[in-house]
Amino acid sequence: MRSIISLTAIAIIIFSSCDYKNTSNLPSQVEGYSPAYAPDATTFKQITAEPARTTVNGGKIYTVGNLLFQVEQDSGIHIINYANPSSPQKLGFIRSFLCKELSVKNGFIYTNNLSDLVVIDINNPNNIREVGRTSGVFPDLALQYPPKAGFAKVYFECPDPTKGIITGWKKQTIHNPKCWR
Amino acid sequence: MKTIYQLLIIILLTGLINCTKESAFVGGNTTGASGSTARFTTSGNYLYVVDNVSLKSFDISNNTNPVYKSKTDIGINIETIFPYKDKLFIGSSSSMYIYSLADPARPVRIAKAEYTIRMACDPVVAKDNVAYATLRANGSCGGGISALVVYNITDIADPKLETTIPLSGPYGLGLKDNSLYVCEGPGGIKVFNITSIYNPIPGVILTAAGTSFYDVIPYGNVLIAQVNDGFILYDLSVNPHQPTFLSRIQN
Repeated sequence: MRSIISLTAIAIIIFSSCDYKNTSNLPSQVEGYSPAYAPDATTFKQITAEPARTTVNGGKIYTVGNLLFQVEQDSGIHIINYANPSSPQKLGFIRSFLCKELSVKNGFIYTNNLSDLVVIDINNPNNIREVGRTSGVFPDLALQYPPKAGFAKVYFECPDPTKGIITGWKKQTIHNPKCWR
Repeated sequence: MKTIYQLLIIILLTGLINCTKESAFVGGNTTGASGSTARFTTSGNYLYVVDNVSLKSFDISNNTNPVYKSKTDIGINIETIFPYKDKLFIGSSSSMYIYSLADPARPVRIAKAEYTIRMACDPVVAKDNVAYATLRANGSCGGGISALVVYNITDIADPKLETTIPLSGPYGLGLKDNSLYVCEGPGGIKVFNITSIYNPIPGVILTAAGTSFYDVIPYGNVLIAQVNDGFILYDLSVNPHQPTFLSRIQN
């Protein structure tokens, strides 16, 4: 009997730590996150070559040949030419919404755009363009959840897929949240 | 008629020049390298991606048409992936995993080395019979101590901890020949001599005022250091144990 009770207790602890779990002890008003939606994902799925820009939140790095690539968190990829390593130059920027990671092979960048894997042809610097896409393979790289730092509980309004894709999370006072992580 | 020939020659030449430019732009088939905290990597004709819990493989033999092949559960808090020969070295907050690419579409685990220090951020790099990982135990990465750990992987299925070197708070690391470069945030880059592979000897420390060092790629004769406001490039051609400043790229 005792073991059943402890098992139940363990199960409760395990399951109550899951995302999206309704519990009766949720706050009626709390500082949390609400999602911002875009009803039309088209512009967020455009991969475009743009002029060099200032790096704001530099991320992962990769190099091949004389080129250095750096992810701009959630926005794209900076390209730096260091053929002359004493005087490296920023060449340009490739926009890819929610970009977080990259690798390069044979002149093709493999990166993420939202939760999709995209292939970007950079063999011709004057014609950088998307040449392949595998949809939805990185669900964890999209913004399904608000940011979480440390172990503190984060409350948020549950995403509603019928409203479109989530383009960001706004920190604000929310009421009767049903989701937390 | 003459002018048509001249035009044709100009067009042909322009085409040739463009071709040369194109292959030089990305270095043709030159092998690239990523920072040590990467979650994407390529090996052979495959792209490998780790998320927090699993490893995914994509066949990219047709460069523009990746084909999703498999998903392999690894563990929890997976952070980094590093390819070496026909193996993948995967870093998590508690362990270093080694996967075989004998079947590149379906990586198979051959080893798991559990760190004695738990809850750390820990990229890993490897060569021949040795793997180096940094364990960072401050910030969001939990308690414990920070260190560089050295594993003997002569028996790839049974990595053995050879050395633990205490550090102040390491981030990324990279190796080239007999040099190991370890980023220590505001503490700079510690350069270790790894001629004796299991016994890294600390050497010079590369620092810059007000600068934090986060990741590094030794590539050819250039050491690329990712810092808080951009990059610093160092020259490795004279003495890889004593990199010399080349340039700084500001954000």
